[in-house]
Amino acid sequence: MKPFQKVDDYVLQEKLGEGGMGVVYRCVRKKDHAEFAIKLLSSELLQDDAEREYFLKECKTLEQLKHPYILEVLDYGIYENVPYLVTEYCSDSRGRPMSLAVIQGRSASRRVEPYVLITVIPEMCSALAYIHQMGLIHHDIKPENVLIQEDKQGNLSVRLADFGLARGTMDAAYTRRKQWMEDEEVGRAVPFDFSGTYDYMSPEQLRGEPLDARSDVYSLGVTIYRIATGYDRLTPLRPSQVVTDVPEWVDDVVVRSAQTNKDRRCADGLELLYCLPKSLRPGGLTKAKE
Amino acid sequence: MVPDAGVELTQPHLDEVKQVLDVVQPGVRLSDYTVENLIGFGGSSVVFRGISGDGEHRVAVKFLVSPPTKDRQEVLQLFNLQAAMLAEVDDESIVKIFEFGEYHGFCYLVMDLFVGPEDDPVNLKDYANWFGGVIEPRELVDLYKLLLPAVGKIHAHKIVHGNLKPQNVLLQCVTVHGEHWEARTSISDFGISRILGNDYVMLSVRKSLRRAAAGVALEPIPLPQDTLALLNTYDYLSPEQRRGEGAGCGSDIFALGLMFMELLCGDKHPGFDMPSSMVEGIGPDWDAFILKATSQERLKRFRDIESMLDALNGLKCR
Repeated sequence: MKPFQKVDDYVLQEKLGEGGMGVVYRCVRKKDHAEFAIKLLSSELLQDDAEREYFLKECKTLEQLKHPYILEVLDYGIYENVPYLVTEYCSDSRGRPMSLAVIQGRSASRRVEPYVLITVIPEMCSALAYIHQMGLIHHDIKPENVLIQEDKQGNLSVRLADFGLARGTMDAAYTRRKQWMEDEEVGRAVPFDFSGTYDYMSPEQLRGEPLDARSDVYSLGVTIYRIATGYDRLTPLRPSQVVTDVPEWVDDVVVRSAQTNKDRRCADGLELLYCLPKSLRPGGLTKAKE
Repeated sequence: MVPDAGVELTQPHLDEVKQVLDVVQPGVRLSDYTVENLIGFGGSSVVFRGISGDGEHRVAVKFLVSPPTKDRQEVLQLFNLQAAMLAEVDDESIVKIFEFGEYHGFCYLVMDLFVGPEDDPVNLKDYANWFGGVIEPRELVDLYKLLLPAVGKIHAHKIVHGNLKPQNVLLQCVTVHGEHWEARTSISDFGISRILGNDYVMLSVRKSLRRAAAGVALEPIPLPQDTLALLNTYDYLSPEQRRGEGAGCGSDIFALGLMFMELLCGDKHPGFDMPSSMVEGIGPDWDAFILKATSQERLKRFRDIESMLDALNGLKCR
């Protein structure tokens, strides 16, 4: 696959990135030139009809997830044995791709400004609460997977991406993939930054234990801690002790999430949402419980 | 080959370790040393017991599972240089390396052998685990009073460890009194990261991490043992090392600070309460000591080992 190639109704544009099990391109729809992002998964995921069916079934589940802060899946299919997913394209006001990791990378201290934190933290918690209420677990929350949509006025809005994406299908390909990685020479260019993933994995995930929503809560907590402080790991210091501008409620959220002991974390995203000051909780969900 | 008792090869992922075990078997002769039984393996190495030709010196023979990233000749030169420098320091708190060589494509190091009271190797992590993962504050300070000067002496020779972790602090049993035993501590793998290339550690870690992330799946798969061992290395790497900058004295100070907190509280990240509120008998001066040593910015850490030692000597136990 390369730029300007056609995939069903879409024409590929430049490559946006590689991650997980696929390559992401910007693309435009032929009929109306609307802009989207398309994720092309490896064709090795589909070895037989059962795997094809499984992929389509999972996409259907993803398509049904509708939430203002979750990346919307608009279309999916299989083109010449390449499974693909079409989602909205998240960019800054100038059309460049944008995520929390991009914002973080812009500053030498790897910190995100407090005024951005005030927007993104409640929205991330809200998206996580929704996923958990749907009975799903994300498994891979990290700044690269928190996409940001910026409108013309400069308002930012979170789009949580890449969760549970054809996860079962990936499992099927796990053995084949592992083999490929072991054959690879040491020192060759790393196709994607896995150390990034490790940094946000919960202790139980590293140990290979069964996971529940609290694993996501941990990963989100570490994400918040790192973007607020710019630190590369957790320390006993609370975010507001590191950066004085960080509001104190960020401390509360981090203390209730980024804990090694899972019993000390919130049970799920919804509980975490309730650690936020009332004025910052996005509407809708807050009413459900009160 | 069936490994000796005490070392279990249960993980199916230990292919690299098995490759070494296929080639290196008890009785194999390496120049002046004979390989004896297997005593353990980590993320990047397999360690055997060994004995010198005259039967007088018991040694540990460490085989590297993957080849160094540098040219062999360069590695050999660096090794000789480093060995000469370490010999100059000649401190019993530094594990000495006697020989570097290659056997059927695998590089090996011959070093001092350290064993606990039961004649098996004991490192600081094992020791802490006997007591639930923590060491009493007073004992920890005493231990650091031995460790810090050892690191300082090497720093004075412009050698940086670059990979300090509890697993690299070995205990040698000196005397046994009933249930108690006295030990001295030695630091192993000094300068190994320099000899093998600064990028060697990072590359092994990264390679292993990639394998680990493939295991991020719906059905959790336990990470292979060798991956966990390398992640251990990764955990203690200072921020500047993780960014790919070279290790300096400050990186060792960072690792020593992190180890201090882990051995004191039982976790590398015990939560968002200060150690003094979790551990009895210590005051806020201990928190300040840990925070200064583990500062993210190199310049905010202790300037050198001497100033860290001064601060350590000032810590009070109630």
